[in-house]
Amino acid sequence: MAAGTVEARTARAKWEVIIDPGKCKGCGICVAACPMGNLRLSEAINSLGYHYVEWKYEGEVGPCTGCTACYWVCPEYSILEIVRSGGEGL
Amino acid sequence: MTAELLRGAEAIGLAALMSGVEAYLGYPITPSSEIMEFMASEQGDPRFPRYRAFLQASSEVEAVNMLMGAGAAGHLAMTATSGLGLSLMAEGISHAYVAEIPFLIVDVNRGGPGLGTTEPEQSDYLFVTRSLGHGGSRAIVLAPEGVGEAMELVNRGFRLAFDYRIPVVILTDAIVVHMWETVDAPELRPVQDGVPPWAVRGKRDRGTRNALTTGFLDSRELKAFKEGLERKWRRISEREASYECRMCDDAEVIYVAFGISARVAAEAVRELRGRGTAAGLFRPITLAPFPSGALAGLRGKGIRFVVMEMNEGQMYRDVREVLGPDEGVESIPMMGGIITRSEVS
Amino acid sequence: MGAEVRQATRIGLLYDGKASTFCPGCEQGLLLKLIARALEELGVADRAVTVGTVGCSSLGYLLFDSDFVQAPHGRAPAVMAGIKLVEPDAVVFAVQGDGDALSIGLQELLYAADRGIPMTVFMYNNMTFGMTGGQMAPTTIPGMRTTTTPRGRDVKLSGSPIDACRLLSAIDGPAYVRRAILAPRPLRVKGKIFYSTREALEAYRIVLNAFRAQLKGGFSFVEFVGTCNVNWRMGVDESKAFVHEVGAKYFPPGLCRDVYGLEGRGKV
Repeated sequence: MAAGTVEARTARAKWEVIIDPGKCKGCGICVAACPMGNLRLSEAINSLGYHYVEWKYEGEVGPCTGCTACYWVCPEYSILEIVRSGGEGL
Repeated sequence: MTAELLRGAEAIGLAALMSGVEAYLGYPITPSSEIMEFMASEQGDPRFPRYRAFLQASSEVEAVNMLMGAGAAGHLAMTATSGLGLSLMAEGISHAYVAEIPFLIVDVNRGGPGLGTTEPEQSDYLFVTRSLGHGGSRAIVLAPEGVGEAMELVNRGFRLAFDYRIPVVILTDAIVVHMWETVDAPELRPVQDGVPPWAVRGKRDRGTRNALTTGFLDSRELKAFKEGLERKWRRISEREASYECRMCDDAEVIYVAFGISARVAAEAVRELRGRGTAAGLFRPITLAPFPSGALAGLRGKGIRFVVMEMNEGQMYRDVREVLGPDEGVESIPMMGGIITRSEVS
Repeated sequence: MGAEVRQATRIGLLYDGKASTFCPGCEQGLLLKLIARALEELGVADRAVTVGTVGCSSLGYLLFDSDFVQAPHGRAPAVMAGIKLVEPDAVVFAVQGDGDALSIGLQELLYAADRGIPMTVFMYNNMTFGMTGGQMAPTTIPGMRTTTTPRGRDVKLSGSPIDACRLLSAIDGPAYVRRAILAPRPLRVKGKIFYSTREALEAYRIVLNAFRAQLKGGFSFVEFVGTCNVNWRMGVDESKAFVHEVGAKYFPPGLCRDVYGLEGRGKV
């Protein structure tokens, strides 16, 4: 247990953000809040009519530290989920 | 309880306590304050352990909203006020009607409009029966003619409020509330045990949430909802309209009166009968729903109807509407005073 | 795989999969999230009752899975009092706008605070009547243009903005009175705008304290100063800057009352 916790806190453990783009309103706060710059607003528009947030790194593991800053500043609920790279949701 | 000499204000309070009232939330206004003062003094009465909350609010606006909270949480709550205060409560009553929240308001009618007088009138009739609040909101309205009936109607009022989830108004006046009568105290039972399943008090073990809203995002939703409320009102009208018809069977002249005016009318009927005139009295007990069916049943017999009330002729309009243009209907209005027998017979 | 949990993101009290009813950039969605998390963390989610208000906050019930009753405009503190008097262990709260709390509902708010019946009022202060299209509010600042003050708020006619925290700390009843800026402060880092989680996390602690105050038997009031970028006719970043640079001068963050010492500064 203890060893696992330490592992989670090292930079080696990579995290990623799973995004449900349909509810995003493109306010951009999460993009500006991410200390690693992992997010951006898409060129595309979702069904609500907004440029939704998307994960910058397609198919690769990015420098996400799992800090959850994006989750905390987001005014919506159903958009962002912070997960271990390749893992299930929390 | 056996026969007791009771004043209207205390009798109303006692009836509420026996019915299981849990909260009295109000604002003083003459001539209703004695009810509030009685309820203030009744805090901690070991005979009525359900009665746990008394609060003097800062205005009638605050009071009616507190009633809404207590009623939404599924508990019996009441207040007493007069016309001015009831005007302020109209917003809250309108919300409660839509959200289907029950509570009881005793309106002790005084002179109006405006500050009017602190003396009795029946001039809130139109307000409470036609449209108690904007948007077509309503309440069930009960009108006692004396102290004993006031007690029964308080109990009945709470029962109706919770059975149908609707605000209920007891329309009385400064006379009934201040007079003393010997009453065979009625057997009144608490209206409910526990809280109803729709109560808003936290999900607890219920699992799903209860939401009482009064706003709709779309007029189709509102339409569907109001159609439901209309069906409910029709059920109430069919089942709960009540009245009393004394000596109507052979009557040639029938007085139509409610509340304290009916006592005066009854005297007139007695006097006329003594003089050989076949007089009767039709007394609506529920003013809303109005006992139209029963009244309409007296049509076509050539009866002369005399509507007497302590206002400019408000119930007269309803009576005329029910009986139609061909019946003989007269109005004895009395504004700013009390109808006495001499003016009536 | 999923065994190591850094931070739980699921919030039971919010309906999953729904977009909020708020405009992009509005912090009310964030406030509702913080409230939901706090109620769960305190273990009182099943006793929570949301009292609806009128304004943008009124639509929150569509997202929030608690027992709910709608109050008329400004009357939520009175409805909450009615509930608490008969159901004392319900945990009641309302999110009022500045109009709901300080305009039409000022009397109900003051008396609820004065009595100190335990309940929690959050006031989202965005200096405008948001839902109805941006009219002047009690907290609109002097000179600010709104649809009913097209030439800017005239103090000689309409008075100055009302400081809710100061007003409520002038009476004895409340147990916890706090103001904080909910909008994140835009920071310029190498020419780009950056937002920290500082305001959100501080707000979360304040929300927890507000409910703790209620659980201890007190009345709590928190004013969160936030943005209404749509009615202010500003972009998201510009509106955050406005709150911190201009709004905060009239509504400075601070602890105005803390009878239980919840913020660790002793009794305030």
